[in-house]
Amino acid sequence: MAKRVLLVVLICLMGITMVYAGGQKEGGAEDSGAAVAAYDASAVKWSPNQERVVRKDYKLPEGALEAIKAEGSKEIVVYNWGDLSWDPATLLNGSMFTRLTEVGVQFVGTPDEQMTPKLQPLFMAKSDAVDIVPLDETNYANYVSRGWLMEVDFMWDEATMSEYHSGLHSTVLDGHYYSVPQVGRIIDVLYYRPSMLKAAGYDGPPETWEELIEMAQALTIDKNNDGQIDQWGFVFKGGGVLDGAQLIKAKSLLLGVNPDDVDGKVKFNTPETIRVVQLLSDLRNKYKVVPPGVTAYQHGDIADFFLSGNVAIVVDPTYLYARCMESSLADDFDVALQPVAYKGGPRTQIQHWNGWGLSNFSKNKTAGLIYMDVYRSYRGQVNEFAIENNEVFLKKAYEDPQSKLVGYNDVLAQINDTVVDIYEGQGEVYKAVIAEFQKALMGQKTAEQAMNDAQGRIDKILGY
Amino acid sequence: MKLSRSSKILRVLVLVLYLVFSLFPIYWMFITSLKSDNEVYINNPTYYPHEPTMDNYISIYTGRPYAAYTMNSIIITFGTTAACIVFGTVAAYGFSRFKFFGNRTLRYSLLVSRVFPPISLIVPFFMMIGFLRIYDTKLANIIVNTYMWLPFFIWITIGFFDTVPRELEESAQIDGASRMQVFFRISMPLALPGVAAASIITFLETWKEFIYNLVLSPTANAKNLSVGASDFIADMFISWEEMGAGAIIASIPAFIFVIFFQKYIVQGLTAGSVKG
Amino acid sequence: MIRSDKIVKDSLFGFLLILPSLLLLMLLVVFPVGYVLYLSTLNFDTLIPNFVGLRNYTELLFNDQFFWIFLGHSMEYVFFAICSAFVVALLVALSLNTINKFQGTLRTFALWCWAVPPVIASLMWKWILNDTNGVLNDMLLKAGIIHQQVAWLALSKGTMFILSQVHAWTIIPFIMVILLAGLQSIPLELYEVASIDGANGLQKFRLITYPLLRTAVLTSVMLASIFAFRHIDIVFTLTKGGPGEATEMLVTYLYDNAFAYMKIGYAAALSVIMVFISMLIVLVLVKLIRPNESQ
Repeated sequence: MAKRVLLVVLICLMGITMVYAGGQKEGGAEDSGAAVAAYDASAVKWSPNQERVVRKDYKLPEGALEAIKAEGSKEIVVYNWGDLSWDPATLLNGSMFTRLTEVGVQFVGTPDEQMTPKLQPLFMAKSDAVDIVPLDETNYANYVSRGWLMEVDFMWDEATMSEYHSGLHSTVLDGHYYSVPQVGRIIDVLYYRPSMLKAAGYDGPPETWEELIEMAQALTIDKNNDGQIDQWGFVFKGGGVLDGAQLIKAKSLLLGVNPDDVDGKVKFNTPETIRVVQLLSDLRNKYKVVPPGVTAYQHGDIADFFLSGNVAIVVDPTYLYARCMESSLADDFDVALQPVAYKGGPRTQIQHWNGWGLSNFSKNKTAGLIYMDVYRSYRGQVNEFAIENNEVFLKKAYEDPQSKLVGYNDVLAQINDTVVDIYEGQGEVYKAVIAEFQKALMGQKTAEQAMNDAQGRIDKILGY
Repeated sequence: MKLSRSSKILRVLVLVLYLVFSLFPIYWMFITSLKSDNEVYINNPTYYPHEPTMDNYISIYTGRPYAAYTMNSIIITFGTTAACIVFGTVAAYGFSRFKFFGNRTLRYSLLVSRVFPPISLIVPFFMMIGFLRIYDTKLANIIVNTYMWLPFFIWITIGFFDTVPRELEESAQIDGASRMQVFFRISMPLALPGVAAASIITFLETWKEFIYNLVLSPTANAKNLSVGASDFIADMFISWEEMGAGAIIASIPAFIFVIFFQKYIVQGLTAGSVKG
Repeated sequence: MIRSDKIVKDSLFGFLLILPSLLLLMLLVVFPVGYVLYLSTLNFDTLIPNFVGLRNYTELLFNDQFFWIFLGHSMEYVFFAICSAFVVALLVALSLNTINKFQGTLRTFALWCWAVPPVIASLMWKWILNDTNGVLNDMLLKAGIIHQQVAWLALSKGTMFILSQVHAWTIIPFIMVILLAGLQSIPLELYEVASIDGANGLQKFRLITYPLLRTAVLTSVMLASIFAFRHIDIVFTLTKGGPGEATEMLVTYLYDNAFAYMKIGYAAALSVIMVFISMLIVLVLVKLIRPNESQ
C-alpha cells in the first residue's frame, strides 16, 4: 500500500517536472535562439519603388550589394509550393537573383499540405533555417498576426501599388505591408472538348448557367449502353482545403455578391450564395451531370478527369492549359471564359493570391528582401506569366512581347474585374463552408440549411 | 502434424485470397510506373502496360537526388534498428527477469510518450534537434526514430523473454554460468523469434517514417525515400507515373530486407524444450 | 541470508540492464511531453500566448460538439480496422504456420505490403478507389457485382468503413508477424497429445493455441489499436475528412487546429486527451484479453 502511494507521488512529481521543464526550455530557447533584432532598412535606398518595379531589366537599389555583403549572406532558403521541376519560372527568377547578388538560392519544394507542418515548428522555435516563405490566403493573415513575417512598408507606397491589380490592396493588413505578390491565378476558365460538343450538336461552349445545365445533360452519356455513364457533362471540386469554398465564392461573384465581403463581413448565407449551392447540388443530385464522387475531388482530380477523357466540360485554373497541350488532347480541347450566371451578368473573378514573405528570424534579411523585390518586378512577373502561364498582378507584365505569345492571352484580356480577400481565420471559415457544402451535396441538408449552419459556425469563428 | 485435405485447401485458399488483396496495390503501383503519361489517363484502366517504358525511373533518378535519398533511408534505418537491438534486448531482459522497484510502472510509462500523436510532438522535437545543432542530419533521424521504436521494441521483446522458462536459466546458473553467459547463451537464442519480430517491425516502420523526416530533413542531406516520393506532388497536380516509380523504388530495399529477414521468424523453439 | 543478498544483487543488476534505455528515453521524452503539456495551458489567439490553465481542456470536453462526434468516428475507424485486420492476420498466421512448402516465399509476399510507405500506399489506394478511373470499380463492374460506378470515397455512410479497411490493409502484416512469432513458440507436442486425446481442430485452437497466444494477441492488438487511433495519412490523403465531415476524426481535428487554425494550445490539449483515450483503450484490451491467466 505504501509502495503504491509512493509510486503515485513519484508519477505526479514526474509530471510536474515535465511541465516545468517544458516551460523552462521554452524560455531558454527564447534567449539563446535568434533574437528578433530590429532591421535597419535605411542601408538600402528603396525609394522610388515604382520606377524600379516597371523597368524592363531589373536594377538593384542603391546600397543593396553592400548591405548584403555586410550581413555575410551566402545563400537564402526559399520554401516553394510544390516541387520545382514544375516551376521553371521560379528557378529562372532565382538564378536571376543569384546573378545580381552572388547569393545562392536553396529552394525547398513542398506540397501544399506539408507546408504549414514544416514551417510552423521553424517559426515557433524562432529558427533561422528559412528566409523566404510562400504565402496564400490560408496562412498569410495567421503568420502576420503571430509576428512571424517582417514588415516591409519601405518597399511599398500607393504609387507602386497602382502598378498592380487593385486586388493586391487586400494584402495590406492593419495598414502595413508584409509581402510581395508571386502570382495571381485567376481560378476559373472553361475547358471543353469540341469533338464531344459537336457530337451532341453544339458548336460552341456554354455562355450562361442555363446553357451549361442544358449542354451538360446532353453531354452526359452512356456510350456503350452498359448501364453506366462513360462520359460526364461536367465536374467540379467539391473537396479540398480551399477549392470547394472558393468555387462557391467564384460563382457567387457571378451573381454580384462576394461572400467574403458583404458590407465588410463574411456572409455565406446570402440568397445568392444559397442559390449557388443549390445549383451545384442540383448538378449532382437533380440533373446528374457530375459524378457522385465530387465531394472528394481536390485540385488535380479535375485535371485527371479531363485528361482521361471522361468529361466534356470543366472549369479549372489556367495551369491546365499547358498540361493539355502536352497530352493526347492537344488537338481536341479549347478554352473560353467561364459561363456567366445570366446574359449580361458580372464577370468578376477571384484572383488567387500567392505571395512571398520574409521570416522575422532570418539572418539574411537584405538578401531576402532583394529576392522579393526581384520577383515582384517586371522581369520576374513576365517570367511567371510567359513561362509558367501563371497570371500575375503586375499590369504592365501582360504587354511584354513574351507574354503576348501565351495561347489564351485574348481570353484573359476580357477579364477586368478581380477580387482578392484575405483575413484571419480564413482557413477555418473555408473549412466550415466546405463541410456544410458537402452535406448539401450529399442531400443530407437543403442548400439553405447548410449555408445557414455554415454561417453559424463562421459567426463563432470570427466572433461576430 | 497431419492435416485433413479440406483443412489444407482452406489454408491455401486463405493465403491466396490474402496475397491477392495485399499485393494488388503494389502490382498497380508497379504497372503505373511503367506507363507513359498518356496511358495513365485513359478512360478504361489497363491491367498491364501496353507500351511499357522505363522513362519514369530514369527521369526520377536524373531529375532528383534519389540515390541520396536511398542512402539516407538505408543509413537511418540500419542505425535505428541497431540501436534498438543493442539497448532494447538488454532492457527487455532486465524488465522480464528481475524484480525491482517500479518494474511494472516503468514498463507502462515507456509507452506513454509513444502514445502521443506524432504531429503534436513535432515542434518540441524540432526545438531539441535545433538546440543540439543536428538539424538536417541523419543522426537526428536516428535519434528520433530510436525514441519512437525503442519502447515498442522493449515491450514486444519482454513478452518473448517471459516465455523463456526460468528453469533453464536457473539450471545453467547452478551449473556455474554467470548471468551474462546465461543471457547470451540461453535466453537470447530462445527469445530470438521475438527479437526478430521486433527488429523487423522497427526496421520497416523506420523505413516508412514520414512526418518527422519531413520536418527535420528538408534537404537531400537526410531526406528519406518516404518523403522523397512525395516530391511528385506538384503544386496543382500529382504526376502519377513518376509517383509510381518513386513508390516502387521507395519500397524495393524494404522488400529485399523482408526476403532475407523473414527466415529468422522460422527459428522457433525446438520441440521438447519444456519439460514438466 | 544468501537468498536475500542474491535478491538485492539481482534487483540491482536488473536495474542496471534497463538503465541505458531508460536514460535515453527519459532524456528524449521529458522535454517534448513537457512542452506539449505546457502548450496545452496556453491560448494562442493573441500575439503573445497567454496562460489559461485548464481552460482548453474544459472547452474541448464540455463545449465542443465536434470533439465528441469526431471521437465517435475515430472509434469506428479503430474498431473496424482492428477487427478485420486481426481476423485476417490470425487466419494468415495460422495458415503460414502449418504450410511447409515455400514458407519463405509466402512469408515474403505476405509481408510486402507492409514495406510501402503509408503516404504512397494512401495515394495508390486513392487512385484505385477513384470512382471513374479507378480499378476497383472497373473490376466490380466487369464482374457484374455492381451496375453503377460507386463513389467509394464519397458515400454518406460507408466511407469510414472503406477507410478502416484501407488501414487494415496496411496493418495486417504487423499483427501477423507478432502472432506468427507467438505461434512458433507453442511446442508441437501439445498438439500431438491433444490429437491423441481426440480433439478436433477447433478445440485445439480454443484450448491450446489461443491461451498460449494471449500475450502476442494482446501486444499486437494493443499496438495496432494505438496506431490506428492516431493514424492520419490515410484519412488525410483519401478524403480530408469529407464528405461533409463524415470521416473527420480526432487526429484530423488535431491537425486542423494545429496547422490550419493555428490554435496551437487547443491542439496540444487535444493531443493530451488523445493520450488518455489511448491508455483507456489499452486498459480495456488488457481486461478483455487477460494474458496473465495461467494455462
